[in-house]
Amino acid sequence: MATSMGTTKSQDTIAGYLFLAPSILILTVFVFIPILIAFFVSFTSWSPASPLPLPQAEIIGTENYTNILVDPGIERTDFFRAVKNNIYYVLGVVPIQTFLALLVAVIVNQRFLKGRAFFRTAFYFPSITSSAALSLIFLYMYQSNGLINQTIAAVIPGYEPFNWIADPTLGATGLFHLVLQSVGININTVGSWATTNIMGLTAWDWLSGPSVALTAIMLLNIWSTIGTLMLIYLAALQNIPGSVYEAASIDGASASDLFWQITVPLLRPTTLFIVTVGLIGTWQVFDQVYVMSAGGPRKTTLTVAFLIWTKLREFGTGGAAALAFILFIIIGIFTILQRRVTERE
Amino acid sequence: MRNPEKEKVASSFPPSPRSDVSLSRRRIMRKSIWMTSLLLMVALLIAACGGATDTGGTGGDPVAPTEVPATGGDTTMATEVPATEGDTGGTGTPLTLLGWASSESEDTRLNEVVDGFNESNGMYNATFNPVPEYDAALQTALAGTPPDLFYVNADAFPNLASQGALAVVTVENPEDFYQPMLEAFVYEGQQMGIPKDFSVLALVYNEEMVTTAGVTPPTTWDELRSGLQTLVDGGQPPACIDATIDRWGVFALQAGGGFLSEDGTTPTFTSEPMMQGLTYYTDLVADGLASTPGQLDSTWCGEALGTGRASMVIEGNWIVPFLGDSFPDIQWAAAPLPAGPAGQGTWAFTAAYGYSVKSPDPDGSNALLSYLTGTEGMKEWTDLGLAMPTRQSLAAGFSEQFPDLKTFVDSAAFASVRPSGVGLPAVITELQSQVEAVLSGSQTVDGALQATQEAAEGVMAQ
Repeated sequence: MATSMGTTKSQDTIAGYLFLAPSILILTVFVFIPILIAFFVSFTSWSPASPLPLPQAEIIGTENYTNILVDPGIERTDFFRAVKNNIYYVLGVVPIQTFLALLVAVIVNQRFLKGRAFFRTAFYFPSITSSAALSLIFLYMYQSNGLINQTIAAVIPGYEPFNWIADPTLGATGLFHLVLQSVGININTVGSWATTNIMGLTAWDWLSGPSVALTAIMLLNIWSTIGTLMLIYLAALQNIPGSVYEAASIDGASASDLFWQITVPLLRPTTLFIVTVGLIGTWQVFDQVYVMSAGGPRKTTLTVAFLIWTKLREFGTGGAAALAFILFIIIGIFTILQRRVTERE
Repeated sequence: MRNPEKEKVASSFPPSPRSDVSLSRRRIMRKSIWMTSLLLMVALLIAACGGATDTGGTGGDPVAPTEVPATGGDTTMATEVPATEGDTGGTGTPLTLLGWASSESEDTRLNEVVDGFNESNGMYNATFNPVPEYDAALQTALAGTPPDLFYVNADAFPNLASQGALAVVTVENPEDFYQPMLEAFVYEGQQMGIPKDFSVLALVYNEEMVTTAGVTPPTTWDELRSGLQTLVDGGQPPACIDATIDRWGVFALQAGGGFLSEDGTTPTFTSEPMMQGLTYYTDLVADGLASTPGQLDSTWCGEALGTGRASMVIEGNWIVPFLGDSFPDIQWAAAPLPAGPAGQGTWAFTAAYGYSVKSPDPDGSNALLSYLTGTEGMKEWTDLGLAMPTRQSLAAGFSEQFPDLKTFVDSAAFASVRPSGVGLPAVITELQSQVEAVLSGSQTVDGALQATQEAAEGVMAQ
């Protein structure tokens, strides 16, 4: 009996792997092997332009990594500049898009809402639109004679329209700096700590906040991602049985109690998923930057993913591969941190 | 905030089956509303997208406005690649020519030139394959079986040559070429590419605005400054000069130097001419006499001139077909760039043809290269009137044929090719960022050049 059970089990295992074989093969060829090769490339000075095949590439050890992380120079400065921008981007986009997606999902989930199918479609639509097309449309809206500037100028007297994406002065100024400047605080008045050089950037630079141009891209990204996240929330919301709300109402819960005590806790797994996906997506932001600003003005929209692309284009394949692995580790750390924080709650 | 008791109750509840009788009817209704709104949105979106692409297509290179279009065409990414015509009925050994996608007229013309090669040679059947995002595409192409001949961007040349990717080529009648352009493709004493054409910067201005203000084309720095002052005082828009060294760098040349030492090994960003040139430029901007394209709501200065947001621009000859196509009503004229304290100077941008050391058919590569860079092939190509011939013997005929471009051809006499080097593009980007900081008042000219010098020293030491 024991042997026959074992045979069945091993037969099952073999059958299982047979069924999996096509996807294992595809994953190996298109995912695992490329990752391994990229990892190898990150320790070489190889470039595809080189006539040497990859196995003969010159191995330079961790030089690609130390250039980015340790040795002072333009590579390190650019990397930490990108990290700084990216951190503000992530911290700005993820909470806002998660909250707004939840809000929108709860609203379009209301039974009393007339035409909610229309609103669901309307909110979801940006998500299925090509981000390149959206970026171009927003690029025109952010011009100084564009829709957004003109609207603000009409509402707020004294507002001087400027190109949010390309203006080298205001477009490149961080939001925190803007606020501080308006109350008369600048790098010269805060004290000498502001000029401390941390990884090629001054302490003052680190505390700039997202530049106006980066904020503009953040707004676009939030607007275009809400739809997808709303859909996920909507699916989760519809899984909450109505009887729970009913019971709570009978117990005397108010509308805000229902939201905070029932909806939000029951959506926890979904929120966790959305925040994780949001973290990964925002760390990898590329297409909007590529289309709208190419990293400018004054490198304030330079992101890590865009930096990888720049390096690749400039024949720095090894450096680009190293950056990609560093980005992978950053995303990993952030995701673990986020899980720790939410699990402890 | 959380009530664990309630949560426990809630999660242990079985999901209630939805027993709504009108569910199916409602679902159908919902579906039809959904479909209607979807259709509506699609229609809206198509309309919106159509508008956006139309405007986007005219704007030079909206992706990287600072990139130098080395062929002179605006390298719009979205350009449709026309089907190659050379592969119809050809019988010889196939050859591929890889290049960047540019304007449709350029692609068509190059196909015709390649057809001319196929006919005159008889042994080969070459086809032109234009691709977008060229530098990235070239790398992947070189990693496999390399194309028989390809464009070599001057900025990419040091990388390609130092990686050992390029074969050494022989130039027929080398003294006929503009020497700086030929020298741009020499690596360790070896010629590894032949410049196919070039573009050069000049001062292009809106004739109507300049005449109205009573300004004559400036020939010196002082005249440029006072001319712009008159224009701006008279209510005309300022000049548009991009913050990249590919534009304002001409002022450094006119002050007597560039950003690399003569032998191209030592960065000299903090040299006196650089200081003088950058100061002249940033003062123009600070005094409201010049602006960057971003400040003028344009992707590049050509667009600013076309839309009347700039009265003068420093741009290359690629602006000529652009203005003709997109802004045919603008009355423009070109003048050589004004002379600075050290005389005249301007940037020339060039690209070459080269082939790989791994070329599958070096004889074929060489045959095509010789044809395209020979007097006959180059004339045929430059007869399109876009980029200009690098063979000086063709210059006179070219200016006669295209009087609009005469100023540009003549400027070649005092043009320097913008130097490049491994890692230098990152330094150039950093410098632009620093210069933009100067323009916004948060950096000094000294500080910007000092920071760039340090960045360059770091890169070149590697």
